[in-house]
Amino acid sequence: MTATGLDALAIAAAVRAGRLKAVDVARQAIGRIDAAGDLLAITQRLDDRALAEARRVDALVAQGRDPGPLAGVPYAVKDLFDVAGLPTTAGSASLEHTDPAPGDAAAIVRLQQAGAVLVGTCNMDEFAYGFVTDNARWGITRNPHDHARFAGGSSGGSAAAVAAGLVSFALGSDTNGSIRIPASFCGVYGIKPTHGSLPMEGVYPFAHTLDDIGVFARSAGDLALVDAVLRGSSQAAGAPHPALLGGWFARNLTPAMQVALDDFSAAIGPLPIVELVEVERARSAAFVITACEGGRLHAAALRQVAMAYDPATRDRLIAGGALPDAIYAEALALRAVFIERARALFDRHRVLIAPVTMGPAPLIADPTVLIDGTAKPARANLGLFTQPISYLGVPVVAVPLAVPGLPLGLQLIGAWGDDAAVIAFAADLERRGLIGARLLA
Amino acid sequence: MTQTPAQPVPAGLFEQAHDLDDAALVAALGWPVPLPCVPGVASNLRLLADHIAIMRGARR
Repeated sequence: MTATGLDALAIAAAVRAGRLKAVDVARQAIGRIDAAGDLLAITQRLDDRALAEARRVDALVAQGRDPGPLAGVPYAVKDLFDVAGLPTTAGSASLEHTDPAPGDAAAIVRLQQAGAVLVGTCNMDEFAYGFVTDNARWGITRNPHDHARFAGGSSGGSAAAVAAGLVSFALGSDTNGSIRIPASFCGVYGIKPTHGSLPMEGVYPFAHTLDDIGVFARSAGDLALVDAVLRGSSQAAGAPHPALLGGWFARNLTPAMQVALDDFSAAIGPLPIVELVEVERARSAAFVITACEGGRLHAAALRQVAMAYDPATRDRLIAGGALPDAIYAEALALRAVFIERARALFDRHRVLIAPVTMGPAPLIADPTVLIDGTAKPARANLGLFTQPISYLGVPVVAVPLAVPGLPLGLQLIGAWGDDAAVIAFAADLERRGLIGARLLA
Repeated sequence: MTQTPAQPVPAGLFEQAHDLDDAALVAALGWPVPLPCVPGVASNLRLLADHIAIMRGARR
């Protein structure tokens, strides 16, 4: 029996029942990584560790003991999670020679306790500051569905690894869209949970006001399972009462996204259209907070070793570090106002729906997006629809639309702490055939 | 995690970002930014200036 093509739920069930050996599942994942060619999703292989973890799972099964709900499921993590024995580089050559992490990130510890098997680390934009996964040290992660296009970022390696079937799920981080955008471009599921609800210990920070870790998965069921393992509990879900976000989220759409959104709306039935007011201000405030917190985090290092940074990241961080306290405080203060306005919407609608991006993944040869008719750099501007949602700190699941052509994604946005409602709504849409992952294996 | 910059930038730097040339704008930061970084840093300072204006209610 092969694990290739199975989701995490099926692999774990087969391993727990003794129909599959975790060691064989790990070897198959290693073989798929070997065959991945120029995808550049995985940066560091952890073959020995993976096989050791898999043997431990098989031993528990042989002893009749519970190997955990993710028994033998292979996964990978973005390059900013602490992995015992490896330097945590956050995708930067400037950190390659730092001391190895003494232990695993808290999220990895929880997954290991649940029986999951870590097979590698994933490519990212340096220090998570970008939306394309164009990394000066490792190179560009290619979109598995079209190697001429970006995978999205900054967790692009994680998304590509899942879409290409190298691993069953992956961890990433999302500050302004860094899980949702690559999930959308690669045709997989991705969640940014309620801010602060998943463990951040052992994760290299970027902008702490907005940072979260989250999961990439090949089905809504897998997403629910891994999310529950990470948070240590399951949550109850309720009726979604969905609404479509208009205004800001209906502008700048490519023809393909407009058609996909119209078809989705027609299929799901009449959806009320609602507006989050002053989204543009919120997006810019999130931009300012990110620049300021990121810039200040790196200020001391940039004065010492600026030229060791990726130029595309370095110049943004230096500029962000110049933001004065007063402007940073303004950006934080606006948040309370925006949150109150959003709360009024969530009182009526448990799930709000919006596109993840304006359209499909940009071409690597033309790294721009059209905003109000002007071509802007994709690296900094793909977060038009994701940044305002990060600013709220609410849970969002990016789901892959069942459309022909290149993958496109929607954001299913819930109220604070209502992660289960958005995951359950995703599962419902999946059952109805309106969404579904686009996988190579 | 957030550290206050060692040296505060001049008040009004972002308000003047579109009026200064690259060298003058980056020089106003008050530390020796490596020469290859100057155009990129200046460009990003102006981008931040635009976002600050939008955050304060200016329309694009």
